Amino acid sequence: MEKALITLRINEREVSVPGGSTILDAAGKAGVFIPTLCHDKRVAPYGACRLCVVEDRRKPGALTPSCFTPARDGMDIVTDSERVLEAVRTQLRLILADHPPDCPVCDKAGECTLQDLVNRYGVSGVPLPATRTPGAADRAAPLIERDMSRCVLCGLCVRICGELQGRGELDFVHRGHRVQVGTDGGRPLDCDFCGLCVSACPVGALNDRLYGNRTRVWKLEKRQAFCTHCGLICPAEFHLEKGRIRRVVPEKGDDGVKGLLCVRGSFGWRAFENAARPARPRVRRGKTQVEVSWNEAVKYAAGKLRNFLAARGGGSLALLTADHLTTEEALSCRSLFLDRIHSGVGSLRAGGYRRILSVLDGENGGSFPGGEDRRDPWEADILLVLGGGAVEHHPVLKPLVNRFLKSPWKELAVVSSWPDDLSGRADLSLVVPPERFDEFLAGLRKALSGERNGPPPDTGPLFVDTERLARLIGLLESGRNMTVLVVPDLFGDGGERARMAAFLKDRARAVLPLGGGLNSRGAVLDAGLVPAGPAADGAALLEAMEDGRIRGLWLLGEDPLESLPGGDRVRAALEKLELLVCQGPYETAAAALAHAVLPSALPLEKSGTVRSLTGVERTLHPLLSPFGEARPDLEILEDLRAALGEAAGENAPEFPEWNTDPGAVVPGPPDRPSSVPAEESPKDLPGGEGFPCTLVPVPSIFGDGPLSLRSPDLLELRRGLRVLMNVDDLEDNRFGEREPVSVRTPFGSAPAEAGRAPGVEKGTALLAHVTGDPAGLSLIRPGTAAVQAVIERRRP
Amino acid sequence: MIPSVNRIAFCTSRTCKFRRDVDVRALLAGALETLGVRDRIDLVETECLISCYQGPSIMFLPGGQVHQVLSEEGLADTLKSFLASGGHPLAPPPAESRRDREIPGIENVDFFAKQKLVVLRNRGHIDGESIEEYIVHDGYLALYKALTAMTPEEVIAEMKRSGLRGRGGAGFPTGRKWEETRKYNRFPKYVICNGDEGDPGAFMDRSIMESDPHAVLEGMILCGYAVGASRGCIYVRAEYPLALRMLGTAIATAREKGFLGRNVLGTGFDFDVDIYPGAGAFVCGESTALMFSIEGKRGMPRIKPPRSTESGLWGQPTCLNNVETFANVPRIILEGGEWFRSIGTEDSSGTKVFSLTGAVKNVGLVEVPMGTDLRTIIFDIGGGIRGNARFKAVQLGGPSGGCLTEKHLHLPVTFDSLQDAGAMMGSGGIVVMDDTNCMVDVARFFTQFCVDESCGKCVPCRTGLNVMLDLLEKIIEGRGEPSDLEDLEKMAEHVADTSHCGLGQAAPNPVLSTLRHFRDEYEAHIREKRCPALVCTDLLRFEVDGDACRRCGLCARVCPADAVAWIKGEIAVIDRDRCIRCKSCIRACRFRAIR
Repeated sequence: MEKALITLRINEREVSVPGGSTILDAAGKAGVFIPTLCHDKRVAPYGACRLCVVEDRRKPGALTPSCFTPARDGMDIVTDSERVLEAVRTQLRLILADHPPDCPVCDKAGECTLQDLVNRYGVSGVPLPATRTPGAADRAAPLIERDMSRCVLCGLCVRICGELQGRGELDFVHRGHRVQVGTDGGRPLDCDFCGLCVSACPVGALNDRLYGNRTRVWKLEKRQAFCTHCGLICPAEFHLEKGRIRRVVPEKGDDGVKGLLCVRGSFGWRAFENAARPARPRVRRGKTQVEVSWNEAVKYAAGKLRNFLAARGGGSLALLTADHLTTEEALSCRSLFLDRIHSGVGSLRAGGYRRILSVLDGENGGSFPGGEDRRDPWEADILLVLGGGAVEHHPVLKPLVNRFLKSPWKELAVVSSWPDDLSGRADLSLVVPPERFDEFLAGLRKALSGERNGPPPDTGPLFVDTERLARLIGLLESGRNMTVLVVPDLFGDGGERARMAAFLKDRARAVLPLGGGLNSRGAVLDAGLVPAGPAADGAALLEAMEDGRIRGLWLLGEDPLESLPGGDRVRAALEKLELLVCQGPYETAAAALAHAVLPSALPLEKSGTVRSLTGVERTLHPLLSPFGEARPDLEILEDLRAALGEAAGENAPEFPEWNTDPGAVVPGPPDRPSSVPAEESPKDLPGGEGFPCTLVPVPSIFGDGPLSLRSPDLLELRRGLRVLMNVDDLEDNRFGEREPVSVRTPFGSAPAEAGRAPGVEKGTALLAHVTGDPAGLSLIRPGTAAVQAVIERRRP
Repeated sequence: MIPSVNRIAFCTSRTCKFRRDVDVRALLAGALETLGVRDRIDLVETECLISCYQGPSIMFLPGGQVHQVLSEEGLADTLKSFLASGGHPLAPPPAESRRDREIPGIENVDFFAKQKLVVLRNRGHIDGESIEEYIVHDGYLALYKALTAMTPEEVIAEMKRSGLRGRGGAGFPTGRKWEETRKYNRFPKYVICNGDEGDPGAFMDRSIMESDPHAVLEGMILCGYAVGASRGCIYVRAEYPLALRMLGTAIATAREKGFLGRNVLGTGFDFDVDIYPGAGAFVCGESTALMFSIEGKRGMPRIKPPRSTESGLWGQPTCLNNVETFANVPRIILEGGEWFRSIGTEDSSGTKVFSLTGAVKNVGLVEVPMGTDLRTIIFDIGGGIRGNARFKAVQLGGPSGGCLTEKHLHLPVTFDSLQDAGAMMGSGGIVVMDDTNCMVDVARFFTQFCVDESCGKCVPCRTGLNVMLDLLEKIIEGRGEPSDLEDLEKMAEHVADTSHCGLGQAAPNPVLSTLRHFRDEYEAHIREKRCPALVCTDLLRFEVDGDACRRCGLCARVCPADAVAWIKGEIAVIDRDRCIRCKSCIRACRFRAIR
């Protein structure tokens, strides 16, 4: 709907803006500067600082705040009259009276809006008797420092946290001149740590602790790049000093509007500084690994691979990628592994995403909308989320969904297997037990495809509140503009929800699978690195490794010991492998077992193309120099191809001496009897004192990807394995908040910390922060969405 | 003996209780019992018989004679002779009689005669807790008339014809607000009654809610009908427990009788009302802050647009009016807008209730036609200045209002008439000050109030007021410099110009108006380090002026610290080492000889 243009004059300049614009917008368009302190386009105008006052010639004498006053036809605005300037100066003097003059020790100095304005408007000397003295900064919380003596009460942090992030961790306390920004009862911050409040603070009241006291802003080199923690690839501004990252802040658009980041983007960057990385390639010599030159390492790996293929065939090999590959690298992988070697292809971290994407793509006849057909998913009226953990997988969705819901007539419906963050704020939320989730979706699909006037289809039990179900069906059949987000379980199979999404495709403007890592979408859709063979699915892979169908693993950034549930079974299976190559940026647990370790570059150390989960193509440029001798995966793969004796050209001959028939698996010598039975049936849990419950592994807001798991700060926020339950369960079992407990399942046991989560059914517990935790992974098996468990108090 | 009187109303308000803490009901019941007429006379608990200065008061009905209860015996005597006379006023009692003092009939007393009761018409005549009594006094007749014989548009037209303007202070035309709310086709809509009366010294709304809660309710229902709302909220400060009780009873009985709830009076119109007690923040009287408060959020004014009529409570169209505004509505519907317009002035029709407090003789609620001049209110109705002091200033409109002087007393009180002089009618608080009030101190008092009550959102109100307060305190403590006045004035103008809501915009009024009309007093504080009204302790020297002293020794008698040496027939001498500067002597001295 085009709104009529409004024409007004600002400082003698005529400007036209669309209806609904404010005077401040119009001034921006006219190129006229108006000072503001409490204004941020990410949240609604507020009108607290009163610095943006202007004069309308038609109403002499009155000062109008421009940040929220709508522009009207024929206004004659003056922003530089003596009266306006004096008002701005007085306002600045007043703000300074309540602000300590501690700029020399303030991290914000040099990029402080207040400082800039004071300078610009020539407020000098001590204009009014100061009432505030520098206070002690509150460093009780990690990552964010609060110095409320510097706060100018613009309310941006409060509004960002409440209105945008939907968290409401910060709010005003007290009244009148004593008003302050604080938390409940003054406790330390305990929030999502998205860092948006820090990015919004115009002064030095909220500070990034990772940045604080380490450098000065004018020494920084500001580079536009992207956050690579998850598949949304948010634009971010990296501030570097002498080639090292000092902080990461949301990107500021051309229009001056700041973007969004989540905790991983804002505070996860120290993963790039993590020194637990292989500096040089290593190969196995006997029982030990020795560092060798790249030449030697590639030759060794190629030789190993050639021998393996000759003996076992391509079908016995599986390539696991963690989706840190650029599209160019994925293409290289595909042409080598999928097209030539015919190996299996899979991913542990992004496995669920890839399965959903390939089902959708398959049901679409291989034409799942790529980058060229990109409709803005937020333009829909209804946001339907299938599966739990959308914002846990991608925390930046939280402000995006909140922004979506702020427009009138928007609705959010969530069908989830556990009470995740979004189901708490949904207009309609259905929580289906995890073990019934697929059954429910299949029934729902049946119900929806039934004849409108025919007899109701026999859908079987649907396990949910019928009234809500009726509302859901009504919503799906309303014909309203809808975007569907499909979220895989952390370790479960997402096939059924993908079929549901494919079924809804015609009714939806956009269907977006979530849960993928960097370039998961590009790897599958652009590079065609589709899941293949038993490696496509964690459970099948583990079985195939155990029964000898898979005897070789090429790991590209993946570590089964970090993200494949199964505990000792996984280790035993890895130990049995005849070929194990770890090619990746980080030192992994599996690398100790590897025949060759090939250090590769992190996404910020290489260039290439990636595609976000929403279909936006991004170009990566090297921001950091590679660690040690690490090289981009593309170079390693090309060297490998050369060493294998294959020409890089399209018409390269098949490898004659290899058995590349995907069906042929050359049997090896009979398997040694494994220490863990291949067929493991869950035993009945021994009874006892503990709390018996259904344990649902869930994604962590602090990231489950390889990069996030290497960030010391995100790890600190995770605080290890946690079991989150209903507050009644917590009290009935007399578990204290954060009390150490031990969790037992038929598969294993692990120490954890008890906690509270809103909305969890009685008798259910969420298992959070399980990836990267070997003990936690031993509790579950791949493919299981839930498992029976007993939680007991841990005895010291 | 058959008394012609059939009911006696007695006031239970705090003001009467403060004057004399007696159980009037028990006294009356006992006295009537003794006379054997207990069963013939109803005792009606009521709120404010508007002669607070004479309390505790009782009123004989019908007739309306008001008496002051002094003692038990006096009361018995009064009743006996009053009843014996057939309920007619007796000849003045003999001087030696201990009979209670009779107050002349309403028509003979300026305090009553010069008032015109529209809003307070039922005050004292009915029991606010009895819906039947309200109905007998034409209660809910207006509602019946509107629901059965008028369309919502006609109700709005009638309101517009009446020229009624919002009594909360801003004076927005009520009819226009209703029309505005009706315009939006989004439901549900809300009607809110603002009973968050926070001005120091104002109690108009409390008295209305306590004495005639049904009138407020009826006004709200009519508003709901006119704007198309089905829900109403009454926001009352929790410091008004009696008002909360009375309204609660009124709502419950009105529901019982079918004036509230589904299908009001069988006409198919649904309307119900809930009470929301406020936690006592002054800023919650601001309409948008009030709505946030009802929503359970922090009470802070929000930016406009959108106006509340478009997007108010819970983002829905909302019509918010003041208690007194709603109380006017039933009479307007019943008697017609023309009738209402015939009262008051062209731009400000109807009457206005004021709470008259301060240094006047007759403190109490006053309802006068709009346009009545200040002199009539203060000197005729208020009875002039108490004691032997002289009139100095009158403060109107609470902490947002200004102070006016003797030379403004001819001004009629309407919404617009006082603006030029630097004051405003506001919600109707009138505080009269005599020459024992220091205007600098008065300015400081109101500024302190606003500093405490500011929500703290916008810079000028939060910090600017605090800077003003610092300057005032500096002057009061004797550290003032000549430049301070200019600074103060500039800052006050800045705060008024750039603050967000009414609180901040009007908060500098007390300072600006006193600076304008009483600048000499500020000058005396700064240049001569002297407080002419002998209020600012730091500027007092505690010396006896030999010329003024009449050697009475009263100062020596009241001094709690034994600091005054006085020998009969001599001028008193104050030992300033022992003096604790409590000002007892200054207050006691009738000759203003101590400075």
